[in-house]
Amino acid sequence: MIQAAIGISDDIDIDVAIEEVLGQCQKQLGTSRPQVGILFSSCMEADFSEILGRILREFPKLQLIGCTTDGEISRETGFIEDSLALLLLSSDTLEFATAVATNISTNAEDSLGKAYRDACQTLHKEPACAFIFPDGLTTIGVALDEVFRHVFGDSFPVFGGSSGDHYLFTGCYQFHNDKIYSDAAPILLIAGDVQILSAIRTGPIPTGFHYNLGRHENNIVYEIDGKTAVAFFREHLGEYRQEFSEFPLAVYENNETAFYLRDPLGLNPEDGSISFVGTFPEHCTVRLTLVSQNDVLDAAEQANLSILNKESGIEPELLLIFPCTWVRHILGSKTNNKFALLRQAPGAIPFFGFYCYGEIAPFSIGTPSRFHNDTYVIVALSSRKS
Amino acid sequence: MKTEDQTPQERELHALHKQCAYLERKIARLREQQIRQENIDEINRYILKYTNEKLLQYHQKAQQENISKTDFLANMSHEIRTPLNIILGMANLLADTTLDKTQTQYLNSLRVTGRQLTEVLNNVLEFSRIDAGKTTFEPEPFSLEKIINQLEASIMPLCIQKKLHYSVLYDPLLIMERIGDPLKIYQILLNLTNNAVKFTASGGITLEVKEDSHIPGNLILNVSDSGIGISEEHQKVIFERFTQVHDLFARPQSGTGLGLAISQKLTLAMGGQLTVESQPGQGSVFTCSLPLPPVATPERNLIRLDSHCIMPENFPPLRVLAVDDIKENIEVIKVYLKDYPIRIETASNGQEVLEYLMKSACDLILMDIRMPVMDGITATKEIRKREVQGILRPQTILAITAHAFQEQKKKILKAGFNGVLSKPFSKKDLIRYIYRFATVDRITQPAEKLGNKAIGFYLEQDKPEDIPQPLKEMLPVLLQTINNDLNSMKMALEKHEYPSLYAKAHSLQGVAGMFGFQELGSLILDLSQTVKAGNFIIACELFRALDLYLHRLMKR
Repeated sequence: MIQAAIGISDDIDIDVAIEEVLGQCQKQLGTSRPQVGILFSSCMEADFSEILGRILREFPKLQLIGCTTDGEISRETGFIEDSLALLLLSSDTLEFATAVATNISTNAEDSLGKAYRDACQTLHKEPACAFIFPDGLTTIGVALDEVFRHVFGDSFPVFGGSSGDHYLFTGCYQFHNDKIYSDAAPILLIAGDVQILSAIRTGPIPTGFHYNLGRHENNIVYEIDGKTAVAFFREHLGEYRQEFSEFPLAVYENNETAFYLRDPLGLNPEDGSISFVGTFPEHCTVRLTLVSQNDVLDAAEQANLSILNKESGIEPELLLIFPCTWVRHILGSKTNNKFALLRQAPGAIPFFGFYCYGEIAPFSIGTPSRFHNDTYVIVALSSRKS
Repeated sequence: MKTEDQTPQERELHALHKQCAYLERKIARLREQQIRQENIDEINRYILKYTNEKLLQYHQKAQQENISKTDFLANMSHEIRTPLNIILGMANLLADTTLDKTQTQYLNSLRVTGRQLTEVLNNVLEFSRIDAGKTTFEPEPFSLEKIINQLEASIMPLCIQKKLHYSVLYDPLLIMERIGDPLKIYQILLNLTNNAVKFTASGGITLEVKEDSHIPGNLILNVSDSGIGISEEHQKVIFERFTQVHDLFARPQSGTGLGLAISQKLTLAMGGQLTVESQPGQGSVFTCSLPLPPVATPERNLIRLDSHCIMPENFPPLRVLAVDDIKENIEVIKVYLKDYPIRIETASNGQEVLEYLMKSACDLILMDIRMPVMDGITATKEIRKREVQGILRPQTILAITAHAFQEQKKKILKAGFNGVLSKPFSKKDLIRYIYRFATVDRITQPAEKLGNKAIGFYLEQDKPEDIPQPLKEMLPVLLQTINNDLNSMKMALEKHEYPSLYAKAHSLQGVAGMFGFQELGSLILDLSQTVKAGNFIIACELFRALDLYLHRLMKR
């Protein structure tokens, strides 16, 4: 059985907030001791060293990972920002192992490989899945899809999201035990008889023609359809606005019908290039997308429905949610509508997550794990069969 | 300053500042969100507008290219059709010359493939016309019964050739006089039935006509077959041009694959819908729902009279000699005449006809023109010669031919034939043709031999001047009697006195028979049967038809 305790607070006094969070967790835990903890926070001015220290003083043997975000999610609060959110897990049948990969913008594969191996060494069983929260700013030019494939293989399920900085774009932080990092990726491995169910859905809808993606390097695109990326965007989206970043390109590889999205991040008027959140494959076509609140809500609803579907044979004990923060900005005050279905579901299944700068999940379990933009990722964990 | 050094007021003030800052931040985010949403909506609109414009441009370009291709195809088809017609014409002329067996065989192959190629080109041209929107529709009152008869004339020979049965089903209460474009409707039905014959090896084809219960004024024309069927995958493309169902075990079928595409386009253009239901090996049902509103009552009677078929009860007993070297053609005649009191004898060439006439007699000869051993023209010339010599008594010889041109018809009549019936002919065409020559125009039964019957025969044939003078004087009284009887029958129907109606109908039928009013006799018979079946609405319609019939006779 997976026992989950969730504490969350947006008190403006960070000292009060952490005590509230710990108090809520203690109340849910009773006498049991948590084995692993995940901390998310969008309070970018908070003293994270103090917070990590306080949590570890409360639970000295706890393995702790986490990151800064663009908003936290829990069953109790729905979407919340400027808050501290802590998930504590314990299980009599599952094992947990954590590690951190550093310098991933320059040395992702080696660093992540080492972290994975280190974490595996502490487990008695083969890991069943991993959760990872890489830096959301320093990794946008790293071909994470390839890294995941090389480190974890083609079928090992990796979930998570890249950390945020509450939309400031100045710097994200990652946590591992009492340490604070940037340009890092903390990971959590779960081993044992765990059942996993996941769903990923895309909000924006591709429209119009396919265009050839021209010259590009990592996450920088110079040419689309024979013109500069900036000229292409201006031609199709009109005069430049900050909201260009809300309109991702749908990327199609090898003439496939499945696609993933890449959000534009910044324009370079000098060379006409655009930087994106994530890299592009060598040969692909791209399409523009339309963005609407209804489509985004529909996507989340479809993902939630597939997870709650009884036919899966899995009765979730915990749901972890990683939606894209770009999409949250489109939803505005309707953000919490995404979670209505989860709240109505019988059994009061706890859910926990954060708004990330990029999401990580396979299209379906058994296929390679990938880095996405503008999606809604939900993962159900269960240690028993229904 | 550390918290513990602050006074309570200072701490409270600090907390208030933090709360204010927190709220300001929340409000600023809400404002940002609102502006962002407006900008997102504007960009969405821009993308949509741009994409739509682009799509429209591409669509127009594709349409233009399609028109060019269609024009090219149409021009090419036309250019090929002209010399092909000459080739076929020459082949036909060659067929009239003396050829040995091998030459005839080669020539037949040439003509068959030539005709197939003509059909292909005609289909391509027709499709191009529809595709380019050059086809116009001319709705007019028409008789669906007439179309069904014409269709039967075209399909029956094919069915007989493949040993398939062909049946037509419709409710006798169904109003068959409709408003629509008869040519286009015929074209649709012909394509569907031809297609059904093509893909059916055994069993049969059924044409069913019924009202569309979902759309008032629409008729459903169902063509079902017991053929190879169509898989679900193929059903999606069956109405696309140049598509044919190919069965792995079946011989590829001839044709362009345009028939269903043409039917679909015509149906859609007339505001209808053409669908298919089928399963491989289970046959297919093509359902065409077309807006064909019924014709208003007065006009309906005119159309009905025109399409009325002479009933077997009103037909004189005859012995007919059918002459054709293709036995399927004789089968068609036999099928059409099976319910009539006609005994059919057969011969396969002119020589056999001469031999037959030397031994036996017949009332009428239906003679094909082109036959081996002795063709129809030579045989007829020989018969006429023997008639003059007194070896044979005068014969009524009717030509049945595929020659459609007036010049050829004249040539046939000049050879001594009494009449010419062009192929393909419907059952109704054949019945009327035989009836006309076996009664009014029959050489062996001249007008004077008709006796009192000459009144009705000549009046119904619109030849009142041919009625012998003594009989002409009887006409006013006779017509008045018929009129009175009809009025009595109407009264009987209104009062529900059916035995009285049947008695009067019986007596009027006797009058009709005695004075040769065949159409009147058949209408009265229809009326009796309709009243017996309890179809009073149809009975009223028949009374209107009778009134109109009588009005027409009186005018003559």
